[in-house]
Amino acid sequence: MNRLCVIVVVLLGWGDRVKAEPPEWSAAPDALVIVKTTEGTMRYNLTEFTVAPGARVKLRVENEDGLQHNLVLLRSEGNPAAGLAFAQEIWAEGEAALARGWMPGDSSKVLAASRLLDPKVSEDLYFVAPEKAADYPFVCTVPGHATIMNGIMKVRQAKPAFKDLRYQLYEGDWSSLPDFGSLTPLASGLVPDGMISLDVIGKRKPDRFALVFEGTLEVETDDEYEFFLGSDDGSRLILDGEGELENNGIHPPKTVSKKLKLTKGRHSLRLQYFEAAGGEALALAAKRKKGGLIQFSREAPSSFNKKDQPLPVIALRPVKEGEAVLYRNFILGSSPRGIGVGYPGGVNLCWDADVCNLALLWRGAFMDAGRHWSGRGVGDQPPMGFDVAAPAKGYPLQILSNPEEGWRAFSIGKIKSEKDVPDPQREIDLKLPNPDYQFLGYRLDQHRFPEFRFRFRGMVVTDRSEPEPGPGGVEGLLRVLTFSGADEPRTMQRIALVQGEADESGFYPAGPIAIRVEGGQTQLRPGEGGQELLVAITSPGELRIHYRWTSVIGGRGAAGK
Amino acid sequence: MKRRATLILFLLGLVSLRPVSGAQPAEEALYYPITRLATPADTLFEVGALELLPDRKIALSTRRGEIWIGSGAYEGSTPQWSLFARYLHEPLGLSWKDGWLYATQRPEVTRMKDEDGDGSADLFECVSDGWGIKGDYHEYAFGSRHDKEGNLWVVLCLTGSFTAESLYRGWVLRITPDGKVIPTACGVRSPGGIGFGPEGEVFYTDNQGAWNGSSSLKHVKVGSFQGNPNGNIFFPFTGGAIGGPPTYPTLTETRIVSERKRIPEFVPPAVVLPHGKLGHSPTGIALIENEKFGPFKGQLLVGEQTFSQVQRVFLEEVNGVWQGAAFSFLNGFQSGNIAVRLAEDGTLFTGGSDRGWGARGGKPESLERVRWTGKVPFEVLEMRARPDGFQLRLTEPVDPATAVASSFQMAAYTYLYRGAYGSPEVDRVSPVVEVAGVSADGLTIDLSVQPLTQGHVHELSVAGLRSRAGRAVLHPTGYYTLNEIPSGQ
Repeated sequence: MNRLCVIVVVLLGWGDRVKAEPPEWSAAPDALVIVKTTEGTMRYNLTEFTVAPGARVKLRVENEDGLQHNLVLLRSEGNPAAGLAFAQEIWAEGEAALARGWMPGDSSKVLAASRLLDPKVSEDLYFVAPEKAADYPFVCTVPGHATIMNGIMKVRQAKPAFKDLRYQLYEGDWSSLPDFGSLTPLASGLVPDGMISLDVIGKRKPDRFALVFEGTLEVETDDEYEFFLGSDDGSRLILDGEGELENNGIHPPKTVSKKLKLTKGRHSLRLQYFEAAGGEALALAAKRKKGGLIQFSREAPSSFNKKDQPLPVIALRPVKEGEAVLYRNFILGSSPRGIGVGYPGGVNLCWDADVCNLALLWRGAFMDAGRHWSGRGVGDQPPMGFDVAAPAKGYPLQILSNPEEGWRAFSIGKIKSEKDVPDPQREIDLKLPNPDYQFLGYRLDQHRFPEFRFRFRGMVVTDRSEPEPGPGGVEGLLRVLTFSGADEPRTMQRIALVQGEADESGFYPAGPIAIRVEGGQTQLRPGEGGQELLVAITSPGELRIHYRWTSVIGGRGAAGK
Repeated sequence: MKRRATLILFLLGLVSLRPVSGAQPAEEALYYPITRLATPADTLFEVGALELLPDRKIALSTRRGEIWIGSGAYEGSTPQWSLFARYLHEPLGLSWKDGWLYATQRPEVTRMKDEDGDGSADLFECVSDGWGIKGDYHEYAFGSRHDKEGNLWVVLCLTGSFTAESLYRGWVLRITPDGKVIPTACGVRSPGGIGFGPEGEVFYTDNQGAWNGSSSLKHVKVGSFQGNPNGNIFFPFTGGAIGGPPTYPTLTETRIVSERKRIPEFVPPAVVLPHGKLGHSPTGIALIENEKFGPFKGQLLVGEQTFSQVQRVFLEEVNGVWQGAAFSFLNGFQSGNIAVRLAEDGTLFTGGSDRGWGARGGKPESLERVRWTGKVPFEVLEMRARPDGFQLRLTEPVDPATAVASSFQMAAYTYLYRGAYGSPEVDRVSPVVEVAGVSADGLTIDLSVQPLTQGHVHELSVAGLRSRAGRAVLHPTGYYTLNEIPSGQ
């Protein structure tokens, strides 16, 4: 397969673009850069990276998206708009460009380029950076992508971070950082380029090892530095003998950060790292309050890149004062059929239409739509406010044939699912429609407050809430449920999982809130994660449930603003 | 702050680059000019679905979950807008019936009504939520308008590029007027729109990717398998609505034409929209029901997101299988077209967004109107399969001197049928085209083509052809998907 690639490269005549690492680089490029396409966002995770003039660069392009993408790095200087213009010229060629997988026809303009990468496929590119310090655009040339998928490679003269960087290599099977004092290094030595890198382990298999790097940090002026330490698996940064940043344990690439005041002069830096098995990564950098990034490692901690491309904040507010605002989307803590409602006065809830029940309550700001209204809208969004309560997840009603019968919160089936195999083995949970329940919709009143409706067996239930401040103005909510149609004996509603008996005013404690039920006989019984607060239901009937936060927090209504 | 400066520079760059994208070719505008319609300034009009309402009003849904009603959209360029509903979850289907507006949104089919008469909906009824969603952005739901029986057809995207992880992902469902779910067809990958064909049959567009060598327009025959097996795991939940699961496709790289013999339920793509040649991401479907939009009655218009286009599709049924030819038709829309809707008076509305996928048009939102000027472009009106070639029908008489073999070029190819992402064009054939006859009125040309290859896209260029008035064909390439070769009579 590799040979085939090389042949293709030769046919296309890609200048210095090479597919395999040149042997004379002896597995030690001057710079290792990883550019990823992030899932569902139509973006590269990096819009900028820096290498030194003439550096031997290994550029790994990882396509984490569900679409095909490429990365073409141009030989000529320019800004990101130049990359877009370059891609548009390719699109304009149409079919001829398609036949080349949207690669440029004129390879002399290209410094390095990946092939058209399928979803979840990566490719390593090797090239020598230009001598001239300038900006060089890179871009995805697949039609339509370049308007967002572009960036620049900065070529800049860089000073090595350390003049005296040394490493020690250890072998062993650890699940957290070992006590290095009790270990004998397998190998040790000076790191010539002064940059922290896992390449010091050479051709050894990159599993079950640990490293310690030591060097002297020369600080030119007193300043505050924000250190970023990224690793897979664990790592620890020690400055002047003090453990300052902890990123310990087995985990995928994860970055931690901390702000530290450093005084002018020399500081000893010690970085400990271990890798169990699987993927491995280590990166360290710091940012001054004013000024650029100082990179101590060849790899960049991936979280800066996320900070470079923040999601916008789109705080949802009602159209008119006194109205409710709704949000139907993927809300963290609810099923994907959650319907968020933000009421006046900073009280909010999420009603889960999958199970026809209240899923979440919180106070403060309502929801931030920035995630779902950017790119393809990947992931769940948590409530924007605070003191989130989830009184009772899952279905609200059940006919208890005996008092000990367990609560069936969800309707889950099992199914075997695996990619492209006639006989899948991997079993996954599958939410199935519950014939006892049907969500019927909602009606908005003049304040846009929704009244939810659903059918439970022979009954129709309505569920409406409105703000009901408690003593001292503490946030609270009144929820009114009505029942009509044919009821059945022993129909119970599970109101909440509570942490004890009711107080003198009838409120049961349930996390950050307290709950009081009016209109039915309540009972407590042991449940998972607390006492189940149940109430008997009759039809026709009405249930009034009062929810109240238990602490008055002055001025915190604006939290999350 | 620095980032913002870069962004501004970049946007300035876009403005100066406009001529490369976003402009309609002048000659297309002679026949079918595109008019941009003004949308409310304080919202992002990422159009996901369009519907026509009584009194020449239009309704459209946005990806942010709003539904707007516009008056005056048929004339001028500044309709009056009112917000009818909001807070829906990315609705990608709208249908107006009996005073209710139906929306297919991610979690359910909802119908809504303005009961208190203040202009905005207050009653939202869940018609059906009989499918699963897991919370993956990929799990889109596109809905048709009502069919003659009052059903809505909902086509459900897979969970990711390669898997189905919640109920009926990769299926087409019918939702009956009383909210029942009828599992109708399986094998869907990533739909972009669903609509009706010339005889009321349902078609949807499916995007290139796993088990789809190219994007295409597919016919939703009841009980059919559309090619992607990932959703076939849900057969145990269908109550036998369409029988048992189809035979699993061969896992090595095969071709659809051979797998059809193994899998009787496999309905091949009716019309392949060759990936990268005729678009990149097909979307909504509109049937041309009369002559008010020009001479193309009975054909389909298919939206195209990435290339910001609308394609034209001629369909015919051969041996019980739908197939036909696709042609480029309109270029230069502002954003990525998602919804297309053709009014009875011949007004075409298109709308879209480039969010998440990018589009040539370069704008994040669009609502546009296309109307026929009454002038007929010189085009290949129809391209029909014949036992020994193709029959072309033209929109105006051909100059007989140009109806010769050298005016035509043909290439034929197909795609790998496999679980990997997409496919190159393979099994390339270069058929020889001869002119077998020209009708006396100059409107019909019979081409003899040797060989014809079943299952191949037959790409025909008529670049050498001229009308009697000396005009070249405006869009000279047709892509015919030859699922079946008609038998000779």
